[in-house]
Amino acid sequence: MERQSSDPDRAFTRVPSLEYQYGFDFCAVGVHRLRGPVAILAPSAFYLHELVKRLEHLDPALVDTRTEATHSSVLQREEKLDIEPLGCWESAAKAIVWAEPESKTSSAIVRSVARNLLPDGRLYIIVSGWMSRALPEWKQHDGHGNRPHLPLGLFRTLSRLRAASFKVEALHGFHGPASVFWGYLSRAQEYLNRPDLADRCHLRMRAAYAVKGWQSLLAPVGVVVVAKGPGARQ
Amino acid sequence: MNEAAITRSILKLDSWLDSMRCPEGYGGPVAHWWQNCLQFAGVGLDWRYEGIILGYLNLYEKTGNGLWLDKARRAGDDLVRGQLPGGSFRNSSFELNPYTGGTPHEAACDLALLHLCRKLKEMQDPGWQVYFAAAKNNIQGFYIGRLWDDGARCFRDHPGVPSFVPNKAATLVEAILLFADVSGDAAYVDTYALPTLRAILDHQVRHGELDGGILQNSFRSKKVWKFFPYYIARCVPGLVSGYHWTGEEEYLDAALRAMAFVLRWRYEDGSFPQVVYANGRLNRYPQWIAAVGDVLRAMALLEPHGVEIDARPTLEWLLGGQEVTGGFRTAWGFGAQISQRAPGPLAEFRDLLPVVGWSDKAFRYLTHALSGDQAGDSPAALGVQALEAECTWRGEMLAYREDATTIELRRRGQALYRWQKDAAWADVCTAEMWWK
Repeated sequence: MERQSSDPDRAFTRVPSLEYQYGFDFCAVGVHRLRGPVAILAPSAFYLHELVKRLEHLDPALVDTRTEATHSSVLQREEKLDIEPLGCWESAAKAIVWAEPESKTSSAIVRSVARNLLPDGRLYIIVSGWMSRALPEWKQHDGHGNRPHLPLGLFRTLSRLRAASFKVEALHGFHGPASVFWGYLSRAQEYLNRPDLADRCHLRMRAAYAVKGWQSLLAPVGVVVVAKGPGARQ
Repeated sequence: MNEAAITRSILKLDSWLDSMRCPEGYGGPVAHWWQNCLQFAGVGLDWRYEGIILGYLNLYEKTGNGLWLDKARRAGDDLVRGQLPGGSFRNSSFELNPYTGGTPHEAACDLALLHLCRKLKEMQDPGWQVYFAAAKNNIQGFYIGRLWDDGARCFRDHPGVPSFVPNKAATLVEAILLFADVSGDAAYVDTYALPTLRAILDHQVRHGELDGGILQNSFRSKKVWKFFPYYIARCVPGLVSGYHWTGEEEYLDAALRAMAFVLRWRYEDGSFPQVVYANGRLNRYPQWIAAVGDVLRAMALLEPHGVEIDARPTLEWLLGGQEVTGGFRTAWGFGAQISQRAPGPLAEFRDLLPVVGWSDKAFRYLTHALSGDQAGDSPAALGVQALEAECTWRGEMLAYREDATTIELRRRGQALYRWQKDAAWADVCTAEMWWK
C-alpha cells in the first residue's frame, strides 16, 4: 500500500527537530528488532506520519488516540491511511509505539495496551518534556495538529505505567543537559567570531545528544521502553 | 597511473556495491561532517546514484560490455520506482534520511538519469523516455516548482527560507544544461541556469589569500564565510558546463580559481582539510577519502583548458583508502573531529565505515580514468572479502567487521552496532551508538 502523503507540502522535507528524529529512529530500531505485529498509537498527523514513514513495511495497525469522534476521519483523509479509533483497537502486538501520552486519554490507552501487548512484547512511548516547548513543533501552528491537548509529561507517564504494573526497562532522552551546554557554548563562540571553535562545540553538542537515566528527565524529548509486568492490569 | 591496479580497484568496488543493494536499491549507513545516519540504512535515492549510474555508463562506454549498461539501467529504475507524485525521490536526504526533498541529492539523481537517457537515445533505445520523464518531473515539480526564488533569481535550499548553497546549485545547473541538451529545449537555461551560475559567482572571493574560494552558503542574504575544499571542487563541473554552454570566459576563470584555492590547501599526502575559515583557521579532520574522487574529477575537467595539475598524490590518497571488501574508507580523523588534534594510529568507526554515497565518488572518477577495456571481464567475479579491523569509538578500542552481508562493531564479543545489508534499519544499535 502506498502510504506516502500526496500533499506536496508534506512530501517536501519537513524534517522534525533533531530531538524528535532521535525519538522516532530509536523506536524504529527497537520495533524492527522485535519482529512481530506492530501498532502505532498517535494523537496527531505529525506523529503518525513520522512513525508510518519508518515502520510502513511492517504493516502496523494505526490507532488514533484522540477522543474526538471526527479526528480519525480527519487523519484518515489527510494521510490516506486506515486508522482505527482507540475503542475499536483489538489486535495483539509484539511492539507498540505510543506517541505523546495525554492526560485525557492515557488511562484508557494504558488499559488497551495491557490488553493488546503480547507477554514478550515491548511498548515504546515518546514523551515530550517541558523543555520541548522551545522546539518548532510546539511553537508553530502548522495546521497538522502537532500539539497534543494536554501532554501527560514524563513523570506522570511513568507513575501511570507503574500503577498499572508495567515494568519500565529504560529511559532515553535526546538533547540532554550536557548537549544544551555545548550548544550555548557554540553560539557564544560564533558571537566571539570563532566559527572554527563554534563548529567544534556544535559537534560536541551532537556527540552528547543522547542520554540515559536521570538526565533524560531534563531532555525535551524522551523515549520510555516498557515491558509487560506479571500483573499488568487491563 | 597503473591501469591494472585501477581496473582491479573498480571490479572490487563493483562487487562491494552489489553487496550494498537492498531489494529496492542501494542502502547503507551514512557518516558525514554535519550528521550521521547510522540507524536508518535502507535505500537512499540520493547523490549516491550520480556516481553509480555515471560510473556504470563510463564502464559501458569503455568496454561495450552490456552488463555495465544493465547495471546503470537497474539504478535508473530504482529512481523511477521511487519517485513521488510531486517529482521528488524517496529518502533523498542522505545523512538526514529517511526524508525526501534532499539537496543537492535530487539534482544529482536528475543528472544521472539524464546521462543515462542521453546514452540510450544515442543507441535509439526507446527506454530513454522513462528516465527523461522522471528527471523532467523532478526539475519541474521540485526544483522549479518549489525551490526557485524569483526575487533572488536563484534556487533556494529550502522553500520557506531564503537560502543559497553554491555547490548544490552547481549540480542543478549541470542537470538543467544537460536537460536542455537532451531535450533540445533551452527554455530553462536563460531563465534558471544562468542566473543561478551568476549567484555562484557572487559567492566567490576575488582577492587575497582566499582568492577563488567559494563561500559554503548564504542564509537570509547573510553569507557564511566557511570554505570546504571538497564542496568548492563540486562547484567546478557546473561552472565548466556553464562555460561550455555560453562560451563566457568568466565561468571558466571562476572554475580555475576555485581549483587553485582547493590545491593551495592540499597536503603533501594528497588530502585536504575539511573546512577553512575566513579568520585563517581550519578544522582539518575528518579528511575525506572516498569523496576525493569528486576533487580528482574536477581536476580532470580542467585539464583540457591548459591547466597542469599533479593529481597523483590525491589519487594515491584515494586508492590507499580501499579496503579488502572493495568499499572505500569514508575518511581519516573522525575521532579528532571535536578535538582537532592529530588522530592516533587507529581509525575511528566512521572512518572505516564505507558509505555508498561517498564510494560512488571514487567509482565515478576511477571509471572515468580507466583507459583500457579490461573492466569488461567477469564483472562480479571478485566477490566481497571480509574485513576485520580494530577501530575506535568515543575513544574506546573496538572490533569492526564487514563481509558481504553484515557490518558490525563489537566490544569484547558483544555487538554494539550491526546492520544486515538488506535491511532498512540497524539490527543492533546500543545507547553509545546514538550519535547523529
